[in-house]
Amino acid sequence: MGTALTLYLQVLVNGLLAGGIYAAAALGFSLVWGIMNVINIAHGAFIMLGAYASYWLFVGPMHLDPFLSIPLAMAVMFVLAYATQRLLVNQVVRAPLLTTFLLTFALSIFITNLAQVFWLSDIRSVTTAYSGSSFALGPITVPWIKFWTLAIAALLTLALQTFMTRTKLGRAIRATSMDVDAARLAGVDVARIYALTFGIGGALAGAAGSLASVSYAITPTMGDSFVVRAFIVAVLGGLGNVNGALVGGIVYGIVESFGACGSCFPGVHFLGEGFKDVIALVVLLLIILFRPYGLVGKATA
Amino acid sequence: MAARRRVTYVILGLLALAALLPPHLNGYWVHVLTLFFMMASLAQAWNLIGGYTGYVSFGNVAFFGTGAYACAYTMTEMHWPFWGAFIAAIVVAALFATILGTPILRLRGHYFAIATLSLAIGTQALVQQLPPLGKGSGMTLPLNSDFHFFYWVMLAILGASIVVTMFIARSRFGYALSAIRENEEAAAVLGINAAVAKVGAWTVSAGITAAAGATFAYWTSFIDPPTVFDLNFNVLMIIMAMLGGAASVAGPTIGSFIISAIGEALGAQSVSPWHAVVLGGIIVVIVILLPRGIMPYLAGGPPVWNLQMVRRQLRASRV
Amino acid sequence: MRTARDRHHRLFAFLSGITAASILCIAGAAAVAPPAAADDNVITFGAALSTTGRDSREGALTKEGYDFWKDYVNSQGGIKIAGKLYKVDIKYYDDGSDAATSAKLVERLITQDNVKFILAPYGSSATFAASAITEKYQVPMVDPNGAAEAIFNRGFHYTFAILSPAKKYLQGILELAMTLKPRPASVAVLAANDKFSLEVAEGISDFVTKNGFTEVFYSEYPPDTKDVATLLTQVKAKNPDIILGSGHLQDSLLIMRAAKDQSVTSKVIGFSVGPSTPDFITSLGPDANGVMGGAQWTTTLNYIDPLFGNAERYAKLFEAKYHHIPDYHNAESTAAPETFQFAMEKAGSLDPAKVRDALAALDVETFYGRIKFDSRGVNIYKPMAVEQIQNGTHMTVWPADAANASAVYPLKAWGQR
Repeated sequence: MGTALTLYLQVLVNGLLAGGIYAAAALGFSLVWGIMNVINIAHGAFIMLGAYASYWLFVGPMHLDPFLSIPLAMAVMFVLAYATQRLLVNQVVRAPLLTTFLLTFALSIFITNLAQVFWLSDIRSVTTAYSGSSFALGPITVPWIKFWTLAIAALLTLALQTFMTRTKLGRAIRATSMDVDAARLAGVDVARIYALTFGIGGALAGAAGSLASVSYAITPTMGDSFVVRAFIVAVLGGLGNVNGALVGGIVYGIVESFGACGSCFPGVHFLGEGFKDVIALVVLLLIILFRPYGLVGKATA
Repeated sequence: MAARRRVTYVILGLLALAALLPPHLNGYWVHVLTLFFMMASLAQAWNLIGGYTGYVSFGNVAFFGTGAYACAYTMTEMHWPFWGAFIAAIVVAALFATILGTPILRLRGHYFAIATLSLAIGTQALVQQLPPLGKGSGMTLPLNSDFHFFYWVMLAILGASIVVTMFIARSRFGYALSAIRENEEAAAVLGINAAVAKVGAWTVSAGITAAAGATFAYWTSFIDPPTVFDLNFNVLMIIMAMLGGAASVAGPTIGSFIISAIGEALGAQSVSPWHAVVLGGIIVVIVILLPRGIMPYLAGGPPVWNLQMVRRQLRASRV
Repeated sequence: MRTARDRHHRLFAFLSGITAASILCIAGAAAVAPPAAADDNVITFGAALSTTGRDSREGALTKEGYDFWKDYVNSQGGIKIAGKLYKVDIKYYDDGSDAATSAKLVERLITQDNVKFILAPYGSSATFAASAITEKYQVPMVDPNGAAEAIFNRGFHYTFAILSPAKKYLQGILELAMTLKPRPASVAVLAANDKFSLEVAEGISDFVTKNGFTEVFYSEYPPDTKDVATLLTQVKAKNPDIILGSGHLQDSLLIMRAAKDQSVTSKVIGFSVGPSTPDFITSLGPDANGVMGGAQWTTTLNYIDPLFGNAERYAKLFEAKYHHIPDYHNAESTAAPETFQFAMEKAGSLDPAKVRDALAALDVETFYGRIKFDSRGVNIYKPMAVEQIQNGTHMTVWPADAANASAVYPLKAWGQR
C-alpha cells in the first residue's frame, strides 16, 4: 500500500505544480476576455515572445537568471501588447466575437512565423545550474523549478487581484468591463483602459513565457498548446476571475495528471498518457454545460 | 436580393465550366483545384451553422475527421465500396451532430465556441486511442490513382452545398435560422422551435463536411488524427466564410477562392515561413477593413474602395 | 442616390472581373502545364522537406545531407551517365511538416516542375503520403528517413528506403544489453503515438519476449505532449533496469528533463531519435552522458565508399562545411541521392523506369552501409548501430566490430555524469 500511496501523492503533486504554469498562462488571457470580451488567440504567441526574451537575456552577456528576467519580459510584452491593441485590436473591439477571434488568430500566425524567420526552428532551452534539482517531502520529489513556477504564479495572481480591487486604475478597468458607456460618462478614457488591459494581459503572458522558458523547449510554435490550455483554465475559473485562473489552473493540472496515470487505477482502461486530453476535455465540456460561470465564479445575469 | 441571387448563379455556372477542365490541366493544378473545392465545401457547410444561425462552431473539423475515418473503416475493415462508405460517413456524422448538438447547442456565444473547440480536440484525442482506427498510426485506404475522379466528386459536393444553402436560405427553415441569429428569444416567442432548428442546421452542416472528409480520405489514401482533425481547417473555414460574406449563399465559395488564390500565389514558391507571415498580415487587413466580407460589395453596395463606408464600419466597431 | 442601373453595372463589372481573373489564372496555369524546360546538362532532383513546423530541425538536418552530396558531386565536375557529364541540382519546397502538403508538393515537383527523381520528405507519415503520388506517376523515390514498414506493405514499386526499418531501431540496445554484466532484465517502454514510434515499440516488444527480458511498463503518449511528469512517476514506481524511449527529438529532451526532475534512474536509458543529434548534447550538457541511442549510422563505421572513401572522411568533409559532426540524419540524407547516382550510373540512363529497375537490383557498399533492397523496397541488409554519449562525444558501442568504445554501464546517477 505504501508504494501505491506514494504514487498517488506524487501524481497529485505533479498536477499541482503543473497547474502553476497553466494558471500563469491563463491569467492574462482570462483578464482580457473578461474585461474586453476579446479572445486573444495571439496570447500564445505573446507567451512565446516572453520565453524568447528570457532566453536571449540568459544566453546574452548579462546571463540573467530566467526567474529574474520576469520583470523585463513583462515590461517588453506590456509595450508590445499595448501597441498591438491601440493599432489593431481596438479597430474591432466592439465587432462580433468572430471578428476579434479571426484578427487575433491572424496576428498569431503573423508573429509565430516572423519568429520562425528570425530565430529558426532550432530547439532552444534554458538550462540553469539548478535545473533538475529537487527537494524531498517524505517520499515525494518536488522539483525546485516547478515549485517556484507555482509560487510565482500565485504571486502574480495576488498582485493582479490587489491591482484590480485596490487601485484606482484597477477599479476603472473593472467599471469599464461592466458598462462601457457608463464608464465613459464617468470620465474614463475607454480606449486607454482597453489598451492598458491588453497590455497587462500581454505582460502576464510575458511572465508565463519566462516561466515556461526553464521548463519547456523554446520554439516559435510553443505558444499553441498554451493557448488551448489557457482557454480551458479560463473557462474553468470563470472569465475575468483572477483567483479563478489560479484555481482553475491547479484543478486542470491535477485532472490532467491523474488522467495520465494509467497505473493509478489498474483496470480502468480510459486512463493513460494518451487519454489525458480526452479526460480534460470531457471535464471541460461538463463544466460548460452545467456550470458555465466556472468552478469559482458566480452566476451572472 | 436579386443581385445576390445573380452572384450565386454565376458561381454555379463557373463551377459547371470547371467540370470540363481536368483533361487540360497538369496533375498539380488538378490537385490544387480539388483542394479548393474541398475547402469551399467546408466553408459552405460551416456557413449554415456559423453564418446563418450565428453559432460560431470550432468543432466542424470533428465532422470532417469523422467522415474520413468512417470512410476508411468501412472501406478497409468492412470492404464496402466507396459510395457505400460515402453514405455511411454522412450518416455517422449527422448522428454525431444530432446527438451531441442537442446539449451543446443550448450554450451561447463564447461558451458554444469553446464547447465545440473541445469537441474537436477531444474527438481527435479519442480517435488517437482507438486500436480499430489505427491509433496514432492512422489508416490506409485502397489506392485510387484516378485523380480526376476526386476532382469531380469534390466539385459535386461543392455544387450540392451551394444548392442546399440556396434552398435553405429561401425556405422557412432558413428564415428561422436567421431569426435565431438576430434574436433567439424573439424567435422563440414567434413560435420558432429554436432547439430543433439549430440541431437541424448543424446536422446538415455535419453531413456535408463529412462527405468532404470521406472523399479526402479516399483521395489521399492515408489518414491520421493530426491531419483530419487539424484545427487549422476549422479556422480556414471560418475565415473563408467570413471573407466572402457569412449568411450569404455563395459567399463562402468566393472567400475560399480568394484565400486559396492568395495562399497559392504566396506559398508555392518559397521554402521559408515568409509566406505565412504575409498571409497572416493579409488576413489582419481583411478582417479590419471587411468585417462583413466581400458580399455587400458584390451585391450592389458601394465599391470596395469607398473609404467612407470603411470608416463608418470602423467607427462602429472600435472604442 | 445610386440608380439600379448603376448598381447592376458595378455588379457585373465586378463579377466579370472575377471571372476574367479566374480564367486568366487557369489559362496561365494550363499554359504553364507543359513541363518546365529541362536544362539538358543538369539532373534535377525534387524534395519536399519540413523546413518549418514540428519536424523542422530534422528537416534542416536532412537538407544539409542532401546539399552536401550536391555540392560535393558538382565540385568533382558532376556525375557521368553513359559517357556524358551532368551537374546536379535539387529543387526544394517546404511542406510545413504536414503529410498532405508533402503529397501535394511532390505532385507539383513531378507534374509542374518535371522532376523525375524524388528524394523523400522527412518522416514516415509524409513519405507514406508521397509514396502514393510517386507510385501513380511512376517516378522513383529514395527514402532516407521514413522507416515505418507500413509504407512498404502496399505493394508499391517506386519507393526505396535505404535506412534500416523501424522495428530494428532499439533492438541493438537490447542486443548490447544481453552482453552486459550483470544482465539487465526489466524494460520500460515509452512510445509516441505515431506510426514510426509505434513500430519501433513493436520491435522492442517482439525482441523482449523472445530474448528473456520482461516489459514492466509500457505507455504511449501524444506526439506533441508538453508534460511527461506523471509518465516518469509511473516509470520510477516500476524501477526498471532499462528505459527505452521511442519518439522524436523533442520527446527525448522532455523525458530526460522530467527524469532528472524526479530523480528517475535506471541502468540503461536509450532513445530511438534524439541522442545522435547535436542538439541533444548542447541542450542537456553533462546529463547527456551515458545515454544511448539507436543509430542508423555512426562516424566510426568502416564501410568503404566509392565517393567519399569512408565514414570518417565523410564526417571530416561534412564538419568542415557545416561546423558540426554529422549525425545519422545527415548521413542517410547524403546516402539517398548517392544511391540514385549509383543506380543511374549502373543503368547508364536517366529514364525513370530504367533507374527504378537499377535501384531494385542495386547492391552496393557505401559509407552509410550496405544498400540493397528486398522485394518490398526495404533495406533489410544494413544493421543498426548503438551510440552512447561519453564525455560529450558520441562513441559507437555496438555492434562489436564497429565499436570504438565499450559501453559505460550502469548509468551513473544524476549529477555524477
